Amino acid sequence: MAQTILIVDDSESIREVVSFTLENAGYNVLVGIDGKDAMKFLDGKTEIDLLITDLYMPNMNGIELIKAVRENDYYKRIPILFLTTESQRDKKMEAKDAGATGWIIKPFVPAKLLSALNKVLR
Amino acid sequence: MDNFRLKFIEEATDLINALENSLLSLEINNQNSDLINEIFRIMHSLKGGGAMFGFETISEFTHNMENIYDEIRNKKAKITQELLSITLSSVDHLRNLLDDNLASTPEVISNNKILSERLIKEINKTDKSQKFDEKTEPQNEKDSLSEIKKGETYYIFFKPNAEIFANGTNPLFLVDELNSIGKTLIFARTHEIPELDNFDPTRCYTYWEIFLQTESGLNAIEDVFMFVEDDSMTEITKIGDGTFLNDIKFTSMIEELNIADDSHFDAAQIKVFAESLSTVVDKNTNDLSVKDKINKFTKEAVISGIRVASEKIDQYMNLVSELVTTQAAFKLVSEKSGNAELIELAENFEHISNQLRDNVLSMSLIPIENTVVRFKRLVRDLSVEFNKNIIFITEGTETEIDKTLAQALTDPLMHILRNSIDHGIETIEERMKLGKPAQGKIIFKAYYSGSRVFIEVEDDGQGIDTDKVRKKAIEKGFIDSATQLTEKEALNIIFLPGFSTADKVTDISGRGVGMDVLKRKIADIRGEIEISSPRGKGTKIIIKLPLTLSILEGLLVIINDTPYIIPLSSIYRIVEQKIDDLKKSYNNIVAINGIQYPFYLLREELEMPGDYPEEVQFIIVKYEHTHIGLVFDKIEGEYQVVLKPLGKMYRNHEIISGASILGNGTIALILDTNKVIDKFSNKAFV
Repeated sequence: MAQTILIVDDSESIREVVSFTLENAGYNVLVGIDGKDAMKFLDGKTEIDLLITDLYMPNMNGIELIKAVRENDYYKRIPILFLTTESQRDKKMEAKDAGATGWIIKPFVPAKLLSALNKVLR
Repeated sequence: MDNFRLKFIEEATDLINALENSLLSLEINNQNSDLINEIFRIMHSLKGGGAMFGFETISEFTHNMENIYDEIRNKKAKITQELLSITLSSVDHLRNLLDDNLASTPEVISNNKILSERLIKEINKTDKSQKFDEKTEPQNEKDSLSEIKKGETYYIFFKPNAEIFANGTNPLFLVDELNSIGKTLIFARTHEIPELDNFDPTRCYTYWEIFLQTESGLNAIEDVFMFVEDDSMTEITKIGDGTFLNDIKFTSMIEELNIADDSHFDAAQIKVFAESLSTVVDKNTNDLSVKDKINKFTKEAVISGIRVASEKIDQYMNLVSELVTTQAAFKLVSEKSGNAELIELAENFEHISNQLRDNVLSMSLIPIENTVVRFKRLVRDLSVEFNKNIIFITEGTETEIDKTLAQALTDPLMHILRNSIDHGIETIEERMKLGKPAQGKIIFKAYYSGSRVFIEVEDDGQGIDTDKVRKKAIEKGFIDSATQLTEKEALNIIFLPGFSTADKVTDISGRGVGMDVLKRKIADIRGEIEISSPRGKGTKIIIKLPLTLSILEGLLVIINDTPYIIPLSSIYRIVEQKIDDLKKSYNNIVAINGIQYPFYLLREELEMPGDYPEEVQFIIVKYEHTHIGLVFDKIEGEYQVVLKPLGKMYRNHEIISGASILGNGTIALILDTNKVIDKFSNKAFV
């Protein structure tokens, strides 16, 4: 059974690149366009093995989403990776404090994405 | 990547427009923090996306803009009229940067410089104490800049934070990752695990001591602990250069030191011991480097595939088909010569060239998986849009198919899936009412059947209402109300041009592309499409395709000494007829075994000189869902045809789909029977 990854980003092109890479690597991919949209997957029925989220998004940002996942009884133990840029050092700490497992620095190539995945998912 | 790039351009254009809008609103209401956040967010998206998709200039440029608005957001700077006007001209500039043609013009380049300088000036105005060029921050992920090393040995102490599970980290993955970058000796320390009464399964009590021998360098090790370095205890000590873990003296010493579960290695002590060993190790490394070379060699030998440009394969295919043709001619000549030695050579030659042909054919096949990946996404997105719950199941996606076929299949399959989701599968409420599971199912199956590939798309929706189809067909004048139709015939009506049963046109399946186009597209790649739909239980569409487009099983037929080839797959039956009977028949229809067949005398239709012989070959071919006769002088036999495209001048020829060169060097044209009939019938009947 392939593992399922939820990818949340308001940028369609990033979503596409990430889901394309992940699907090609054999994962199931769920897609959310922002934090609020992603919340619908946290229904206790959808199986999610990993969350990858952007931090800046309209409606509900990444930090809020990470906190919501950590407070959700069904999903609080799943690994969470967030997308960030090299210069956002404070943000990195804020996201980690909110409960994120790790991060992926933009820009990234598929190999880098998969190697980050490898740290948190088997 | 190009597709993603185009997508980004589209998206960035929207973002820039939104940015402009927000800036204009901000001009009126410059205290609105929502607006400022929105502006910052857009800039951030542009920066991240720009860097991802190769627009470095955009990324660098927006980096400066982002910094200013970050300050404003954090109330460290104020919005001034001047700042707004710089930002707005920056927005115009971003539009130019997005256009590849404009971005490299001297005006845009100089404009980029001027605006960037003005932005940096603004930044420095806002806060002098902070330096902004954070981009120069050292990067963690250096691309293996470290020089090639023979191997180093490290000691790693890794004690995860007790709360490490809470943020989804599994420390074992990290230990495992270390294992993947070199040779390891791992000691798990478990003595801190408490009695069961006090045991809290959400806490991590274990820690690890690891000896790692690796060629990847310190960076790679630090990289492993990247996510946990802030809250876990990690100490990495270099024991020394050399592959100590290969040295039995070193490992046995470590085993000796490991007397109890709670013992703790003294890195300094081990380092000293390692140094005393290093003279010996040096000698070993020489042996090892030979071994490494062997390892490297075998590693390279197991590479399972290489990528080759598809043009090269096309070219190869073309050359092989030339070879096969030449070989056939050679065989003919050798047989004529009666020279036994030559004939034997020719037979060998034939054997080898056949193998070569099969080999090149298999090369141009790709698994259908590649095409299916994007359907998963389509199903998901559409089911959300239509508020349906649909699971997409795929089977046999490893089935291989010619790459041109796979490409040509994408659109038709998308169309079928859209239909299933839009018209086929009911909404969740409807399904509940019908007693079906709430989740609809679409099954995609691919498999081989003989020399063909079958692709099935099956859904468990409401199926096709043949009563509705019949009613509509009468309305539209395809049939009259007295016509009796079997279920299958009724279903096949949906493939007729100009027929569509959708009550309302939706954005998804109502694009004016009907099932007839679908059928035509499949026919273009020499495929067939079949549909079955048990009422209320779902719809199943089967597409039957040839394995490849470059070889065709054909029948070689003759009119007036001119050879033609008819694809074997389109032939239904062959009977001999007397030409006089055919000529006497009324309205070009003849009854054979009680069934009436319309027919065409191709010698006349193609305006060939001369007359048919007395006995002619009446070849009955499949056309839409009827059978039609085509009349030829005689049949030469079955023939495996290597397809050759016609030249540029003949590309748009209606009834000829290609050509092939026969063994004796003659060119035979391949008749597309569907189009032959289309042409001569003027589509008078269906």
